[in-house]
Amino acid sequence: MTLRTAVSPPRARESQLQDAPSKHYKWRKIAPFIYIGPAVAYLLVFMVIPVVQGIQLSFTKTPLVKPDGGTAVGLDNYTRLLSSSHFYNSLWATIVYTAATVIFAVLIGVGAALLLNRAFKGRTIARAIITFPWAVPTVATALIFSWIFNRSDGVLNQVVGVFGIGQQGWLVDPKYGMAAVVLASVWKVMPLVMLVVLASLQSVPGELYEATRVDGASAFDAFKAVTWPHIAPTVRVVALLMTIWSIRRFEIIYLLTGGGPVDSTNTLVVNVYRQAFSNQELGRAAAIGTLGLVLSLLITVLYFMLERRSAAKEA
Amino acid sequence: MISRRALLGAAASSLALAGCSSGPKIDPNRPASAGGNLKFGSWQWLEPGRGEAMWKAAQAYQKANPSGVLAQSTTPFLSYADKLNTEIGGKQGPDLFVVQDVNFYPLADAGILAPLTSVVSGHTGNPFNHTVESGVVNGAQYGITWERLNWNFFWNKNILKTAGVTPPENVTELITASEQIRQATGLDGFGVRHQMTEFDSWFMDFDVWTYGFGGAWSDGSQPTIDSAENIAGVEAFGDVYRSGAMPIGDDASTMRTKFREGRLGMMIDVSSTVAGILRASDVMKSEDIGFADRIPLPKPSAHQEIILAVNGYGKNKNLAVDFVGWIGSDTGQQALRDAMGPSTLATDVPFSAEYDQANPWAKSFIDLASESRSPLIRGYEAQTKSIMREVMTQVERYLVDGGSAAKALSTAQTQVTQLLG
Repeated sequence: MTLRTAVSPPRARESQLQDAPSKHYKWRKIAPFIYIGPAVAYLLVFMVIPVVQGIQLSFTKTPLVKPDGGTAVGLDNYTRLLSSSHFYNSLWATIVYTAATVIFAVLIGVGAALLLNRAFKGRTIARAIITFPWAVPTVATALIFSWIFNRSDGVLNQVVGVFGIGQQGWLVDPKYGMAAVVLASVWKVMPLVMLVVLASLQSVPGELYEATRVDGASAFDAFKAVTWPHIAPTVRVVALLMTIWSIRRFEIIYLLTGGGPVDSTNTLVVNVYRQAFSNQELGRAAAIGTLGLVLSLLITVLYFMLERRSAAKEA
Repeated sequence: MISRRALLGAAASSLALAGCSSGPKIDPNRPASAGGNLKFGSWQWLEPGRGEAMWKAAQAYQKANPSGVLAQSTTPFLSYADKLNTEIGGKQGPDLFVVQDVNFYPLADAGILAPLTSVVSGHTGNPFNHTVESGVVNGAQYGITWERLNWNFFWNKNILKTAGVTPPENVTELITASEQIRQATGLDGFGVRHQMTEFDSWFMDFDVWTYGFGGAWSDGSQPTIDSAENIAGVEAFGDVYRSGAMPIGDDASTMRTKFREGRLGMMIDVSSTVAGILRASDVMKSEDIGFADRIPLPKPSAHQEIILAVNGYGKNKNLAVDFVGWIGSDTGQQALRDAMGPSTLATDVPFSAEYDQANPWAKSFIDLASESRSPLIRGYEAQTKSIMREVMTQVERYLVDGGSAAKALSTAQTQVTQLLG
């Protein structure tokens, strides 16, 4: 009762504000803009302006050492790119690398999460060990794998040697270059998939499993009916993130193979680096970057279309 | 309405920030005698032993000009050129720096470097040798030689002796000698760069083979990638690569470590490598190094030039130019000679008698400078790296997949022609 008298009823207060446009009223009008201001400024400065400048740069011939000394060349960078086999090789390498990394990382990550979600002795230690690669810096990962894959002294050749297979040039033979890079990348990123899916698995209500047991469902049926519907949205999001990160990944590929052997791992991002720094052609590098951006956008749009379709189906 | 207090606060903050961000403006064209700080960029400051000796040599400048203070600007070799180019693109970077000729040329060609004409015209003492021409771009002097590193062939005498091998004098003998070393000792016979992960250095190393057969990547007006001489060089390298003579997959630093530890028989590498190996090795002594008068190929070899240049965007250009003048003087060159060991310098400064006696291999590297050739592609100097990227990709394809060297270089020729438009 006391409280009720001390505080004015909300409707009355609102009408007071509307009747007399006061300081508070003005504040309420501008407050949202102030709150979102820093985020908008951040996005503008670090995302929108660089992207716009990058696209602008792609229509110029600009040397690295004189970025303000470019000359407009219209669509020349794009026509050269689209008429060169290098670009299509690079695009293909990106697609193969991304698809392989995402598929293996998601499959192994989900599998590991399902295993580690079960109660067993030493589960915490197992989780910590499997998470470890995610914590290892990428440069260290690349170094470790370059030793493992070394043709003359590498561990992998010693292991395959036990099975009578001769020395293989994992990082120097185009037959194996991509597989080697994908293996190192999956080792590095799979723990993140596992952690995210594991978190999602822990939110599945135990009663649902109980119900499937009562109904006499097999483990696979329980997975199909209970587990998968719960974790599927998480897996889809993590797969989307993995896809975008894989398209953008540079260090591990560049440090292991430099885009070789014979350009077999020369993904779009490695190609951008080569054009910008080795060939010192910022305009052409920006054109590759812009096409890479279009690829990422297409994948994102496709993802949201599939998401909408699946939501509509569920509804 | 903004209150007066807020307005005053904002003004005070702006003044404080302005005070923090900029000091008194420095005239970039003030005379060298006014002194000041010089940021000197080089990856070599990080080289164990040699870097410290070079820095000490550079700092001797302060005896000539006590008001000029040098400070290091250093980045590891692998990212040095990228960082330097990016900084200079942003009109920043060290006041003066050393840079490989393939990276120097585009900078000079873009008109970014300060001219060093006064250094050459005002030079006294020992004259600049023929290497001074490497610093001339579009008719103007933009750099002087910091050091010219020549490639030569050298070996571990003890390993060759154990294997009963005489030093090879051609490619066939090199392959045979490597096999014999492996059979007799179980060690790798021969090492040289061979991977695209080391592209920035490998394409220069590789010139040893094509130049060694009299090849060139252009005739000055058009690319000659698929010339008969280049094909012969690529085939020779392919023969060595596939013979099992080399530890395939080892990078240069691994091979140098193996040689330093007495686990590799023979190498083709630059003079500073031998000096570095000896400085860091407990196993190898100078008398253990065998050396040839030239690489076992028919024609003269290649070199790698490291050039000293002044940043046109530098804050103390005249002081930097003064430093370059001093480094070219007899005092500066002597200080550098003591630090560099077996490199060719801007003037012909001899080794000390003791050094010469203790390192008999050193002079062979210096002698090669008179006929060695630059990796810069004549007529396409600024595009050297782009051209060599296409060439080396096809060379790598040939090495790995086999097939025909002529076909690989013909493909490279087509791609380079497209690249150059």
